[in-house]
Amino acid sequence: MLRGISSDRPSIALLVDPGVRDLEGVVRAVGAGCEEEGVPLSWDLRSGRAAELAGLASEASRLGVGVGFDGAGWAIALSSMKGRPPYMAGTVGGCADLRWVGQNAARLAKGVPLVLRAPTGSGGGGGRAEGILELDPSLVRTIVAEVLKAMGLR
Amino acid sequence: MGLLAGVDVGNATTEVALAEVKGTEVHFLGSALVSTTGIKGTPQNVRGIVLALSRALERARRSLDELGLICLNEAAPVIGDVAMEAVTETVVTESTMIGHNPSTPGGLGVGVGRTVLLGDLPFVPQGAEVIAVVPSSFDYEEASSVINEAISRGVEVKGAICQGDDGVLIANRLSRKIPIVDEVAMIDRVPLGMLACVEVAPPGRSVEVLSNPYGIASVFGLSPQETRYVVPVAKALIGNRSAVVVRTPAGEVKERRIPAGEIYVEGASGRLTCRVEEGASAIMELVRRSFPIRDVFGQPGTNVGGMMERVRRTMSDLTGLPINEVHIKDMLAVDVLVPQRVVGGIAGEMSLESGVALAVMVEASRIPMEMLAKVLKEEVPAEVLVEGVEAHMAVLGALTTPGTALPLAILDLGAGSTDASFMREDGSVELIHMAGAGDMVNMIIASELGIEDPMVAERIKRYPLCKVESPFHVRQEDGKVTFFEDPLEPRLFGRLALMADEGDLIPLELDLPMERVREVRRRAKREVFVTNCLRALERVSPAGNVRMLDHVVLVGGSALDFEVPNMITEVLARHGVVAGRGNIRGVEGPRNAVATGLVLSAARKLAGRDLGWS
Repeated sequence: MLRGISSDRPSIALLVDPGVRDLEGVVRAVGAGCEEEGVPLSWDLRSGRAAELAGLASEASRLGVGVGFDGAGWAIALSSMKGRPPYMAGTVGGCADLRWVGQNAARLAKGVPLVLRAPTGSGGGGGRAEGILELDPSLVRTIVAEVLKAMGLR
Repeated sequence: MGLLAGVDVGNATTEVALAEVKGTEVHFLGSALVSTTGIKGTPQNVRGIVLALSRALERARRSLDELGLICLNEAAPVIGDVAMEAVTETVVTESTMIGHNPSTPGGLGVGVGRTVLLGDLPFVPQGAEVIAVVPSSFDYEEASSVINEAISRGVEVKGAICQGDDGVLIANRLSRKIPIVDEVAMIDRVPLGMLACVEVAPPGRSVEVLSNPYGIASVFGLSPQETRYVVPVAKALIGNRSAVVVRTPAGEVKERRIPAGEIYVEGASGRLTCRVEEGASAIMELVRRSFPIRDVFGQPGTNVGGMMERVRRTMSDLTGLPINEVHIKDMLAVDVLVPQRVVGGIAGEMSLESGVALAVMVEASRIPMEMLAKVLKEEVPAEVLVEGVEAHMAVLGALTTPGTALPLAILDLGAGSTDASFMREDGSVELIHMAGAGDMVNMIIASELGIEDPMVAERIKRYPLCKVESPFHVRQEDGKVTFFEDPLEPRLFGRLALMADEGDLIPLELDLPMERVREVRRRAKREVFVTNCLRALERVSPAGNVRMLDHVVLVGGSALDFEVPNMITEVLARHGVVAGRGNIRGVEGPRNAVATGLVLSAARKLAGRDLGWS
């Protein structure tokens, strides 16, 4: 179903919206993040939002890890979490951020601790990195659930 | 008649037991526990006492006005302090070594050559053997193409040292396989034009050439004398997957033994001396031979001397005794490994140095509880009495544990000291305080795991470990697996975590195997609590023989620990002694023994009207 993503080769799958600028740069950056961790990446084009693309990609990946990028936002989804929001998501400032996304996708596949901030000093600013964490939807969900619980609404 | 409260002010916690007394009947209404405010025995404790009292009253739905009598413990006049002394240190002058564990070094093997900055590589003559030094201003594509070009010109590029996390990316793009060490933060401190050796071991292995003194000697052609000097380098590199050693003409690495000072113990055998560097077993032998200890001193002007004086001063301030009348009565020493930053290292290298953890205990004639009672009386509308020796009260309280009987020994496992008391059938009591308890365990855990935040060490002591293996499951330290319905947060993924109460997971920022953290935690608990329990029980048991004891009840905050009571039960079972965690009044667990004992003792006296209060 997805041309570039082989169903035999164990790899992380990346789906990029065809509308993004500098497609090659995006794939190169995510790929570099995966390669440094020693995990292969395969990719394809598909229209959609980051979260939705990541979900599709995770199902196509034999490692069960999919990355989606739609130009503004990125998402990492796990096939084991099908039907739920992506495991991690955020917005992107530059290539260094995308390399960090690729690195974390690879670390999820390897089962080793994630790098919880974008690399500073090489294009991705520390401030932006915090922005990524603030937008972590699972965190937002947890906080909302806690507040509702505290208010006795759930 | 009003209500009766027993208040136990300890080093770490203040506990209250609340009861109603009718004739000879004592009806317990509840209890409370708060953190002790200020040092035990000082007026600052009042805030904590009032808080604990009002909590207990609130839970029993009673008011402060109903309180008739408050009994304070005659606190055990002991204060413990802990300190850690490193006794060795590795000093690298003229940066000669990089040994660290980047998660993903590149390439494989051993390479030897002179260090050259990547920008200068195009000017290196054909045939030269070099190690490329790559600052993060070059991206991995650029770096690999410069190196490939040099290789094609006939330059023998034998290895590379990178600042960024690019080792694998560069290695994958080279025409020749070379070892690459990456994530070297202070790359500008790598000396250039010097002979260097880069080694990257296969996954799952550690460096073999650079962790072997003769390996380094072979690489650099060292003399036997020079080989002696590189032993600390080799030692510091053991266990790393990648390493670099650069030979600089003036370079010098040495293991320095820090003069940690001498300890003087005055006791039964006169004045005995021992150097801290000799380690825990030598110090403990001194302590054993000197029992009963009259005093302990540290060599003036050394770390250990400073520590002993600090404890003495605190106790002197507290009791108002002149400093030369405050005596250290016990000491516990434990050998520890201390990961320390290598002085002069350039990639944040750590070296495991040896050290000694010390706990000391100071005993004064008594802690000024009367003063505290006076201040408390101004705060509450009740009578306040200082009643009963702590150890006596603790036994009375412990006796409310179902299944116990006299003669009974109790071990009070606290934060500052480990205390033992033994009550015979006739009610007479033997008592001993030993230096070292929960605080010392924290210190050992913190130093062996290189943790700076004391709260983290306390949590590692308190909770079992697990490893987060997927967003939906964790593997506990006993190998069992727990599943979660909702995905665990990314900050937990792949990490070691602590299984706190109510299923909360606390992630640990430690890059260590779970087995290592567990071993450090258990060893610290064994070395402190098991050692001290045996030491303490030997002192109070009939004829100094632990086997003569029948029952030992564990009380105190550290008796709540999830593994300490089992460790003690196991050891004492070998001596044929029944030991277990107390359950005060059948409901409180190992807490509240002294507070409960105070209430029972006061109620008994009230029945005989010898307290002058009604």
